[in-house]
Amino acid sequence: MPDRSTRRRYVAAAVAAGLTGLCDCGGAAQGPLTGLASGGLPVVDAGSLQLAPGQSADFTAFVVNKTHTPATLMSASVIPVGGGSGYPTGRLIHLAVSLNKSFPGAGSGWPPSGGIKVEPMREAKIGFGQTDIIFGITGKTLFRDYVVAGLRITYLFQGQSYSVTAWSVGVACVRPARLLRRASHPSCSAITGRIHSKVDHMAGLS
Amino acid sequence: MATRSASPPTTTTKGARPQWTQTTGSVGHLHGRVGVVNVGISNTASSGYAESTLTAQASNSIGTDSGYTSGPGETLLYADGHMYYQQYESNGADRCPPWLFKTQVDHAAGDSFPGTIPPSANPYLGCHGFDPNGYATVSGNQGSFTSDRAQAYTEGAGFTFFALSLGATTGFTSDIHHDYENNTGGNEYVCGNAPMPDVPILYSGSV
Repeated sequence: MPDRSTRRRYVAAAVAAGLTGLCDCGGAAQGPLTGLASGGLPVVDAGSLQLAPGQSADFTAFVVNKTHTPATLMSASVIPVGGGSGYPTGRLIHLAVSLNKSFPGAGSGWPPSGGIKVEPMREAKIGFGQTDIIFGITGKTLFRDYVVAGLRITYLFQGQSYSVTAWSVGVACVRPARLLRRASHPSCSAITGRIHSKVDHMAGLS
Repeated sequence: MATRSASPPTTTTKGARPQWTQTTGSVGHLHGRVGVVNVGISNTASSGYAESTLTAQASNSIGTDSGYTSGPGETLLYADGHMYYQQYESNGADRCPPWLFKTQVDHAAGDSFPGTIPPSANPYLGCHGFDPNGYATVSGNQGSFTSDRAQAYTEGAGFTFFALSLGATTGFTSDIHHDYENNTGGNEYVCGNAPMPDVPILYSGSV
């Protein structure tokens, strides 16, 4: 075990190299985009929503460009919730990039409401820092709860193709329209905690 | 975590990730250290959240959820709860230094109760159109949004175990769940003192 001064030198070097994320200290070559992280670990947010069959439930995944060179987003697919969640995977039907730092935590309908400005995700060029990628999922069967763990996003950077994982739990509970406004209806959010825990595990948080 | 491929379709390679070994206690047992943390929800007076439909929780995604529900007309809601923390040491996997440490909420005791030290109110007065850091919308009809911050406090070398700010005097705690559920019929908004969702302090309201 190195002595304390040696430890500090290693840590200082890591910090100086911008590697405080802890997850990128010496691994295989990676593209410049990462999922949102805090303290070196992924941030896993979660949203849930009741919706009518076929309606879009909108959630947001977050990526960070570590460089000042733009990357071009190309496509994305949803990540199923592993570990035998027992819930079907939501079908991805919309993708966009937020233009005003605002996004649906759990929104319904498309395009997103509430003053959120968007542009299509495909071929969007994203620069340094955080980009909010808004996605809409749906399901068609009444009383089924559709879940996703996040997005797998493919992008181009300096002629190379890369992909990045952005964890973001989405739970879309399909209910008859007549029940959507009944406060006494069992909350969809109760499912979210269980799915969130599973996705935390997938992301290496537990 | 990013992966790389030469050309589409992509292939996946495992990225570098430190693994962590506990240095105190064991998961699932009441070892480590315990602290009281608080979570709060700062509403505008007109927020539908204040109509006895809101639950404040001091919890994390690993442990037991608990909470209590606000009373009618409350505009500033907060809860305290006991959290158990563990310290972990990196095992140096994937060439990461093995002598980094983190402290993380291991589980919640599930004993949330009304808080005694209220967090501060939203300094922006509202989210939608007010907060320069942007906001998240939460749709009506029981839409919910959670920003899970039950994550590690990384300490590095020369660590001080449990060097955590537990939020007792600084407002909302930053390392536990903030879980918003909207039981109104319209949009509600969640914002914070930095770009969402990785925000130490969260606020909410109907504007």
